[in-house]
Amino acid sequence: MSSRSSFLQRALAPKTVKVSVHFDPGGTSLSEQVDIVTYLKQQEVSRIIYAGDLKIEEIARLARHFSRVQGLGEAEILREIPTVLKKITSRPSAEPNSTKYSKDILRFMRTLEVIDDEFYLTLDGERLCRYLETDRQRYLDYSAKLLLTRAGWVAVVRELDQLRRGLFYAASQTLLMDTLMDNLKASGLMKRNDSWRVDALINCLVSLRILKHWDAVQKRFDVDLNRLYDVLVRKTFT
Amino acid sequence: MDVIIKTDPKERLFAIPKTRIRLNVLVEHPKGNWKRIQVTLNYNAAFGLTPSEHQITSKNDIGMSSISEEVVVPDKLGEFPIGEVNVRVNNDERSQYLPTVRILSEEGYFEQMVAERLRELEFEAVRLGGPRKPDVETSPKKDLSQRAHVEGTLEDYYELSKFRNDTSKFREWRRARQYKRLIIVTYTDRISEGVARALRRTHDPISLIRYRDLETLASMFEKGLVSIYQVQFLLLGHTGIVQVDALT
Repeated sequence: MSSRSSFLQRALAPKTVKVSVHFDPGGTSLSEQVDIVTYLKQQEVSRIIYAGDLKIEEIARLARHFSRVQGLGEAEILREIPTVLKKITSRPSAEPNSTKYSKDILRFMRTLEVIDDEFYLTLDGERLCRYLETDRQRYLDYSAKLLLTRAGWVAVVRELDQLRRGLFYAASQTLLMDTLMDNLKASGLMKRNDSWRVDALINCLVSLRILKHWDAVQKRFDVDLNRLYDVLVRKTFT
Repeated sequence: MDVIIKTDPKERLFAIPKTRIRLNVLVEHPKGNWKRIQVTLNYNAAFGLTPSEHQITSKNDIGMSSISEEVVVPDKLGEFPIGEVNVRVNNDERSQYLPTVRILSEEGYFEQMVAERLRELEFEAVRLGGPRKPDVETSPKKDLSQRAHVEGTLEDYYELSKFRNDTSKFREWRRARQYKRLIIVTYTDRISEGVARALRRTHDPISLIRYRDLETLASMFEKGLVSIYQVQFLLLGHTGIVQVDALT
């Protein structure tokens, strides 16, 4: 006879999660490096999107704010953003043109598909907020994936990797940043009127551990290819 | 040496509070030289467990070692990542997330199971949840316009009052969501005579199926014993109690 108690017995039966670990003897890391370099080259990015000097944690905090103000129009949200940012970042707004900055932030959040066209939090946005609350490492991994693939930051990594492999030698970090900015502008990935700062973006990539810290001896930023492969291919986000 | 970690299932698990989750970790020994493989399972704070460390130091005939652990799902509802598995060998370290577990109430879990069986039968099925909302919304993949409202019930005895509740909910949502039919799925076999009588008399398109029969239908469909048309005819074709026995 099927009854609630028999259903509960079935529901309480242990669930199995299988984990299998394999080792590939030598050489594969090289093929993976080739894979990731090919992957980087294949990514078609038309423009890099970022806003001001927003930090990684601030993206989810801002998204969480959007979930609270659902139903407001664009003009109201644009008006609110500077106050909210001040609260979230606890640093005074350095942007003289706050309307443009607010618009940039909205565009950035939309590009990441964290909010939709009606400013409602999307499923990805909810996931990002959930990770921030429950698991910081997973939050960093997931935001890295969104930023690299949707906001086109993969192009910055590609450019840095090319600079590192080429003959270019940067005497200082500032010179490297300037060269990077020039290259990005020349290839049309960064527009003349873009208000974001390259050094803030690089800092974000370092805090996401996609780039290693500034190597003061070799004068370069190394790309952590293993981490990049982890974030883009190996790790699954549910 | 590169480490590849795969998990099955990759995505989330559904469970009710206090369900046990068995973690079976199979570690294939590396072909090259190694002294020690260290496997660490880090659990999410919600599970209240400290990380567990396992060391593999010697080879064996089958060339692999297995580690088994059991965790109990917390007594609260929501979605929790189980944690991550971390493997370290010869100074190489690699980690992979374990799937997330979605903890549901008993009713919610039943609704989820009904949605899964419907998906196995080539239906699109989404569990809506929430009070006064349809439990599940479904439509055959071949004809998405035939959208149906699904009500799942875990009551030990399906009686007329519950049937009336379900039909009134259907009438409330029918126009707004363009439902063509109500499908009632009962876990119990005990359906009151009053419900059978009401089903014979009603003008509303309502199918009633026992969960056991839905499971049988899904397994027959998987084995290729019934066609998609037979499935759709059974579930959406007529008002009354669906008799799967007639097919066998």
